[in-house]
Amino acid sequence: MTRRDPHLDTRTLLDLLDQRLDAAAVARAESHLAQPCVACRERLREVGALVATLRGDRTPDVPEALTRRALAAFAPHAAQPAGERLADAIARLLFDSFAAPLPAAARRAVGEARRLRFALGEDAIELELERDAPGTMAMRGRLTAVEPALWQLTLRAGDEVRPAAPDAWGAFAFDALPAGPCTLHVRGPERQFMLADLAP
Amino acid sequence: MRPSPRPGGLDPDLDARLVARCQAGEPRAWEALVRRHQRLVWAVARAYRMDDEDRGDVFQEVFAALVRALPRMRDGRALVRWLSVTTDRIARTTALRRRREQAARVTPADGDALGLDALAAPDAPAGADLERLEREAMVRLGLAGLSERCRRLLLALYFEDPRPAYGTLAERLGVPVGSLGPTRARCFDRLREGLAAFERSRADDAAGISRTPPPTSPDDGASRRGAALHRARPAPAVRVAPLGTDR
Repeated sequence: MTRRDPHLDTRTLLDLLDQRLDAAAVARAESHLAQPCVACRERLREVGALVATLRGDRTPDVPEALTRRALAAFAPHAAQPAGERLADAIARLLFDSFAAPLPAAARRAVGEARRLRFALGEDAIELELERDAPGTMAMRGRLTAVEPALWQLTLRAGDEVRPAAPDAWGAFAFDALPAGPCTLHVRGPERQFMLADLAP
Repeated sequence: MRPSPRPGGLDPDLDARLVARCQAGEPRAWEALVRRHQRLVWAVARAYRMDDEDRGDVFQEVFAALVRALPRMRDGRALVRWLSVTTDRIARTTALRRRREQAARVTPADGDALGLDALAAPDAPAGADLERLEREAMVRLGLAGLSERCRRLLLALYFEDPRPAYGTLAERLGVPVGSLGPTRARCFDRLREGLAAFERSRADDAAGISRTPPPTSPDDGASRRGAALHRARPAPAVRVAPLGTDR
């Protein structure tokens, strides 16, 4: 509730439900609801229902062994691994901060990380490569695809091979990598790409 | 970096796309589908009185049934309802079978020590509140689609027991204590809006405002049978394998 907007905002409603408001704020909120403000009452009901759902969900995580059993149910359809059906496609470099240095002000804002952007067909991937502790480096990135959950990443750096899966927003990270050129394999539902010689 | 424009969490069409990819034999789509909905299946199975081994069998059987149903599944957007109803049916059957086996072993001398009254109770097994469990599963999907910061904050506030103090939480997330209240409200609104949009999409489906053609195949019997299990709820446009005949 503000001077300009008399209605109760989500923060106030959550604090009201959590009994985190002081007595004066509670009185103001209750007075507003009692006017009656139909919109705020409905919003309070909605917020309260969602809080109750969140608090009521006590289903434990599914045991990983069960997940594996469910995944195995699909095995007959997976006779031919997808990777074998996919040919390497060419990732097109769209941007490299080495080739197009950022202005000093922008560099101060984003640090000294090397920033790369590749087109993967109709999708794209952005990478940030940065030297970390002595002898190590980090890679962070974001895959811009319709369904990041269907993509898999494998990074080869020195003798290490590390798999990763993008989160729902396409974000991923590899930390504490051995410094030096590395290769990122990006495998999507229809094509796979190899991004080689990546270094900060 | 800008976030992906279409987070998978509560995208109403994601299930349809995953189902289509599974139908094309894409194992990673199957994995995404299983990981996306396994919590719902597990929650419904856990609503019945049975041991973990039986629950595990129910869980596996549901996904095996889904593999068999996939080739005939035409509207993946009704997958959530299909999974909850199918799990409910399989779990109920398993629980009743166990109950009959247990009752058959009871001798007169055992009497109430083995809980004969409970075995004979008309409401046993209790069954699952599918509406609530589906909503909980949708909320979890909504949480998965939020930014990592929002997800961590809401998971800590609503799922950790005991609930962490604001000071502890702020330290853990590396943010000032004063920012937690506004951030929580913003994250909560994103979750609420995502769920509302998803519910609207499901309601449109239930009202027949569907982007898919109306049912015309013999598989439509599944829709009627599935809906009959839950008449109080709006009947979704389920066009999948007939329930109870796909095993």
